[in-house]
Amino acid sequence: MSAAQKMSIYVLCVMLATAVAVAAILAASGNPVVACAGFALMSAVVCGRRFFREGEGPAVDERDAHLGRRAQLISYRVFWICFIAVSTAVPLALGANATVPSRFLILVPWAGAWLLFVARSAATLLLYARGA
Amino acid sequence: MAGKSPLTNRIRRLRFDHDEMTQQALAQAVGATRQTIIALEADRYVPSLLLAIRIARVFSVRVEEVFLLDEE
Repeated sequence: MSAAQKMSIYVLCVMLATAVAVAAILAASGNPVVACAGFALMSAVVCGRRFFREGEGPAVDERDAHLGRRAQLISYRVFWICFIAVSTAVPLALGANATVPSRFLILVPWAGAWLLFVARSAATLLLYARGA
Repeated sequence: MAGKSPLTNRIRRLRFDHDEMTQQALAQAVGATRQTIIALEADRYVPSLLLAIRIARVFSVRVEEVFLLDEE
């Protein structure tokens, strides 16, 4: 298993823990602003750098970089598809003149970053599994 | 780059002809990972020109003797 695959699995685990933490805090406090504290867990992604320590030879090479670029592009596509889907669905579900409490809006950028991490990691694992 | 590419190679054959060189040894010699050598041997990855030249140099042959373009 390559360093990039290990990193992707680790990131997915961190993102799962983050989602659970945010949902638990939101359920307990009922306050989205407080629930944002759960997103601090995302900083644990930094610890994944240890997967890229060089052992016998390089940890990553041109193929890993190539797959990484493709995974990044896929994650951007997923992000924009979700962005457009949510932008379209919310007015349809709540009505064109509905208002969203600002305390919920604070979750949006965090959720976007979370989605990018998840999409990129999942795409990386998928590309390696396909043998690309 | 999923699936077979029109570029095939003789890396596995050349490795065995060179004292049964391991994939790890070749990977270290060319500055790549073993996974990349595995993908190359399975024709699932088309290497950069730089990597192709490095592989050819390890076996002391020309690039065309390592990589073959299947044009049919």
